[in-house]
Amino acid sequence: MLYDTVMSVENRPTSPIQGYTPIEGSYDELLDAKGFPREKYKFILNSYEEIGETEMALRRKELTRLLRENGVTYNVYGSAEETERLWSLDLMPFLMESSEFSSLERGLLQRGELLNALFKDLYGARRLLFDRIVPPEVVYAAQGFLRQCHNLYQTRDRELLFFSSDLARRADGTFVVIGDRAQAPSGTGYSLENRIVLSRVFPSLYRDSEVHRVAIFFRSLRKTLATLVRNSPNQEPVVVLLTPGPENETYFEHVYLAGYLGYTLAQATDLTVRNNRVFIKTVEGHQQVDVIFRRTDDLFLDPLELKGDSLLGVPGLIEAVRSGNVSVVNPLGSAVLENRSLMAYFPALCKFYFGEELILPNTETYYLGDAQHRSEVMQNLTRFVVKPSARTGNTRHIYPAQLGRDGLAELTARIQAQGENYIAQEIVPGSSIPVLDQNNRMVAGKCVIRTFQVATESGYQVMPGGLARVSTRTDELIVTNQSGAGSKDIWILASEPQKDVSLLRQNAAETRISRKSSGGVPSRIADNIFWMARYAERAENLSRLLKNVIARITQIEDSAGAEDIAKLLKMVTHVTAEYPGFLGDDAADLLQRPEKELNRLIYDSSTHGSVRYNILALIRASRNLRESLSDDMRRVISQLEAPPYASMVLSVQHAHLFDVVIYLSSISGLSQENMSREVGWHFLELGRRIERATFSLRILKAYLALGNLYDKFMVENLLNINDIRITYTRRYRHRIETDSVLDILLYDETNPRSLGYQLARIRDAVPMLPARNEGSRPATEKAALKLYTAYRVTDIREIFSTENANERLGPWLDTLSAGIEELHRSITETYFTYVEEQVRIGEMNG
Amino acid sequence: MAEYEVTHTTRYNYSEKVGHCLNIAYLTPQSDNRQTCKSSSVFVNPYPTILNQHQDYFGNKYYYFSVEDAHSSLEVIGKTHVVTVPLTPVEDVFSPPWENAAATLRSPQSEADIRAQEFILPSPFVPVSDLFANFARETFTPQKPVLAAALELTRRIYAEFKYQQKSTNILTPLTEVYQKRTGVCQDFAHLCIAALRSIGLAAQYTSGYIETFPPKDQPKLRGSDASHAWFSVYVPGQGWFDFDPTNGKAIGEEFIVTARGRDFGDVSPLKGILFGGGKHTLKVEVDVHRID
Repeated sequence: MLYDTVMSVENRPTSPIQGYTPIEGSYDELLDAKGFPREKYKFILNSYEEIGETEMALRRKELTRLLRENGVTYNVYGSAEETERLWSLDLMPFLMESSEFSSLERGLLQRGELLNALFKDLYGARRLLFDRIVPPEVVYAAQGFLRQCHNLYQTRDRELLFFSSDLARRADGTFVVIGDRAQAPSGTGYSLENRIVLSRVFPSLYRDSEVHRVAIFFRSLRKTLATLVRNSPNQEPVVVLLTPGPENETYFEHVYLAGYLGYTLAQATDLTVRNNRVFIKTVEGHQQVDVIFRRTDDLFLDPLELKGDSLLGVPGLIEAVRSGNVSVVNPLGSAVLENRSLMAYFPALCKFYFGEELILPNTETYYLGDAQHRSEVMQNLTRFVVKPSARTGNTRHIYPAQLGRDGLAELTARIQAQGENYIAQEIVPGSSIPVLDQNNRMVAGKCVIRTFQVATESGYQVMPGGLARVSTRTDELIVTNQSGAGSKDIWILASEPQKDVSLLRQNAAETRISRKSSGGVPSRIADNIFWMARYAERAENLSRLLKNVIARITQIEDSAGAEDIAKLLKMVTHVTAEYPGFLGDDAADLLQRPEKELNRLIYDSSTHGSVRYNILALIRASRNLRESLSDDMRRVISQLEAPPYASMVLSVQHAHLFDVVIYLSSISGLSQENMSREVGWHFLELGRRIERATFSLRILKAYLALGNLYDKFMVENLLNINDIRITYTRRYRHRIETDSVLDILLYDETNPRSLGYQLARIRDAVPMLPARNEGSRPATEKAALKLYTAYRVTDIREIFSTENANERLGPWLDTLSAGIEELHRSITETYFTYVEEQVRIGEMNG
Repeated sequence: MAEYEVTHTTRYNYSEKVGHCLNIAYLTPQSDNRQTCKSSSVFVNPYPTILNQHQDYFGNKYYYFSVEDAHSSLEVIGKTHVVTVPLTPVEDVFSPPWENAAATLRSPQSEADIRAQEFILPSPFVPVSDLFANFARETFTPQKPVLAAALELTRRIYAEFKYQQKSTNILTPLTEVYQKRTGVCQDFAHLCIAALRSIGLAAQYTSGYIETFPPKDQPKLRGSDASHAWFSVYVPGQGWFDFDPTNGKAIGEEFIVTARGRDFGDVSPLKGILFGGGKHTLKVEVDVHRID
C-alpha cells in the first residue's frame, strides 16, 4: 500500500496529502493520532494519486459544471449582490465504515423513538410536566409549542415522520448530537444531488468503494407518505411538496425533491381548503390533496389559527387535518422539538419514557432556569457556550472563556437573575477534515454531519449517507450553510457489493407507463408559462423592431432620408406606447439624436415598453417555473439575466439587440423542439401566438396612425421588422406593393410571422386545453372561433378595392384586437388562479 | 341564583362579494361550579358549509365554520341559556400573602399548580416587564393577601383609568394603554394580567357576558350589552378568582363566563379569514336577558 508509512507520504511530491495539517484540538477524519491515514481512506487516496493532478483538475471542472447545469444553488439571505449561490461540493467524500455507521445508527434510531414519544406526549397527556421531568415553563414557553395541535397526534405509533439530527465529534472522536430539525428539515435533496454528481465525476472510484446507496431512503419516504392517505377519492395518492417559494434559501432542493419523488411542487396560493379538504388548483379544476410534504415552517401554515398575516399558508389547514382529510409531513407543531431547553432534558426523558440511557449522547445541554442545571454549569462556566433558550433567527452565542473578568461577572449575574432565558452547552469542536482546494491541496476544515430518518411501518430508518458540512474558516465555531460553508457527500462503505436502487428504476410490478404527468398542472404554473411566453415574444418583437430601426438610421442597409427615419422613430413610440417619445412637441431634437431615447427603450428596466423590462418580466415568470423548464432553457434564460452595458452608441445598441434576438430565438426554438405537447406547452404556445398577433396589430395600427399605408419606405420596413423580406422577394421580386405586403403579413397562413398564422395556431391550440365544463363548448373555444372567423370573413382584396382602404382597415384591426383581448380574458378566468385578497376579520371584547 | 338568555349577534357587511370564509367562534358558556349552561346553539347566515364544535387546549368549547358560497354579508348568532349562582364575597375568602402564592408557584405542589404555571409567562398580547411589576407593587405591598390585593388592583384600574369605547384596537400595545390610561375591558384585563404575571402570579384572561342595567325608569334596550372580558388570579390550593377591572369589583351572579385563556388571542369571540369582500363593516349586538 502506498500510504503505509509517513515517509512514503512525504516523499511523494504529487500526493494531495502532503502538507495537510489537521486542526489542533480536533479529531481528524483522515489521519490518526500518529499522523497515518486511517484505513478507510487509503483506497480513495490511492485512487486520487492514480488519477493524477492534471486529471483531478478536469474532474473538478466537471463537478462544477454539473452543479451549475443542474442549477444546484443555495439562496443567501441579506446579501444584495449575490442571493443565489452555487452549491459547493468537495471532491472528497466523508467516509464511514459500516461498523462505525451501525453503532451510530443504533443511537439515532433510539433518538427517533425519543423525539416521537416526546412529540406525542407534548400534544397529549403531557406526562413530562405532571411527572416533573421537565420544568413547566420549558414546555409552556417553548417556541413552536402549538396549543392548536392539542390531542391531534394520538393515533399512529409514529407521528413524527421525518427529521434530521446534526452530529459532531468531540475531540476524542465520539459523536454527539448537537441539534435536531423536525418541522421541515432541509438537506436530503442536496445530499442526493451530491451523490449523483460525485458518482458521475468519479464513476469507478464510487463503484469500487462499495458505497451504500441512498435512494432506498427516498423509497421508504415515498412509501410512508403514501400510507398517510385518509378519506380520499383519489385512486393514486396525491402528494404535494409545499414550498414557501423561490425566495426560500433551499428552493432548489424543493424543486429537486418534488421532481425526484414525483410530487407536484405547490405554493400556498395553489392550495385552498373547501369542505374541510385541501385542493390544488390545477388547469383541470380542483384536485383533492391527500398529503402535504411541506417545507414551510409551522407558524406560517395556517393564517386562521396561527400567524394571521402569513401569505405562505393555507387558511383552514389545521381544521382539515383535525377532520382527518389531509396529512401534513412533518405534522404541524413539530418545531417544538427543536428547542434547546427541551434538549437539556433528553437524557432524563429517555429514562422516563423507555428506562434507557441515551445511546448516542446529546451535546451536554443545561437549562439555566433549573437550579440544579445552573449550579452544575456555574462550577465551570468557561467550559460552555451560553445561548438564548428560545431558538430565533438571530441568536448571539456567548463564549464565557473569551470574556474578561467584568464580562464574566456580568454574565454570571444575568444567569443568576434570569436563568430561564439561557441554556449552556459544552463546546464540541467538530472533527477536522481535509477539503481539496483549487490546487488539489488538502486544507483542514471543521466538519459536522447531518443525518436523516424516516418513519416506516417497522420503525425509523436512517439514511445510509447524509450531508457533511465543512467550514474552512476555522475561526468560526459553528458551521452553517448561511455562513458559506461547503458540503461533502457521506459515503458509508459497505462490506458487501451494493445493488443499484433508484426511484427511476424500480421493479417491474411498480413500473407504470404514463403518457400524462401525474397530477394536474397547477394553475399558477400554467399562468407563468403563458406569461413567460408572452414576455419572451414581446421582448423579441421589440428587439427586432428596434434593431431594424437602428440599422436604418446607421445606414447599415439602404440609405434613408431624415424624414423617413423620423417616421420610423414615431412608429416606435406608437408601438412601445412610450409617449410622448418621438411624438412629443419638442421631439425635433430627439429625432436628430435618437440615441438617448433608444437607450431608454432598450436598457431601462423601469420603462414598461423597453426590451429590458420585458426580459426581466420573462425571468421573473421563469423563476416560478424552475421545475418545468429544461436545463437548456434555464441556461439560455440565465444568459439573459446579466445586466447589459447601457450604451449610447447606436452600433453597440444594435449589436446588443442582435444578441438578445438570438437568445430569445433559442428560447422559442427550445420550446418548439424540446417540449412534449402536454398541457403546459399549449399555454406556452398560446402565450406566444397571442403576443405575436397583438404585436402585429399594434404595428399596423401605428402605420395607420401615421397615415402612410402606401409609403414605400415604411411598407418595406414592415417586411424587415417581420423578418420576411426574403420570402417576399422570392415571390414578388423587388416590386414592393402595399397590398401584396399586407397580404403576406395578414393572410399568408404558411408564413409563421403572419397574423393569419398566429390566429390559425390559436384556433388549433385552444381546443387542446383541458375541458372544464363537460357538455358545453368552453368559453375559450368560442372566443377563439369568433376571433378566427372575424379574421377570415374579411378579404384583403375587398379592403383594397374600396376608395379609402385606411378607413376600412382601422375598424377591422380594432375588431381583431378586441377579439384577442376577449380570448385572453377567457383563458385567464378559466385556467389561471385569480388569487383573491386574503383578509383577516376579528371581533374585540367590549 | 340568576337565569339568563344571552343572544350574541355579529354581522359583517361587505362592499364586494366574499368568495368564501373560514371562522372560529367562542360563544358557548361552560358549566362549572358557579354556572350551568342549560343549552347553547349557534346560527350562521348564509348557511355554513362546515360547522364543527371542538374543545380547545384550555378546555373551552368553540365552533369552527366556513361559508363557501359567495356572500355579501355574514351573520353569526350565538344563543345561550345559562344559570349562575352567587359566590362567597371575595372579601370573606381567606388567602395567603401574595409572596407566598408566588413562591408556591415557583416550586409547584399539585397538578393544578403546574397547570397554573402557564399563566405566569408572558403571552402574545401580554408582556411581562419591570414597568408592570412596579405598577403592581403599588398595590401588592409586602404580605398583603393575594385576593385583597387583586381586588384593590381591580378598583384602582376602575378609579384611575377611563373606559372609552373604540379608543383602542386589537393592535394597541399595552404600554400605550398604560400611558394613556384609557381603553376598553379587554385592555384593562390585559393590564391586570401583565401586572400580576410581572410579580410572579398566575393570571388568566376570561371572556364572557355581563348583565347591564338601564338608567332608572328606562326600559332596557335589546342588544345594548357587549361581550365582556376580565381576569382571574390563581391562589394555590384554592383555585381561580375572577375580578372585573372595568366595573371595579369581583364577579357576581350577573357574570357569565364563555372562555378562559392566556389572553384575548386564545379566546376571541369571532375571528376569521375571508377572500375578497372589499371594505367591511361590523355590527355586534349582545343581549343578556334575565329570565324572572
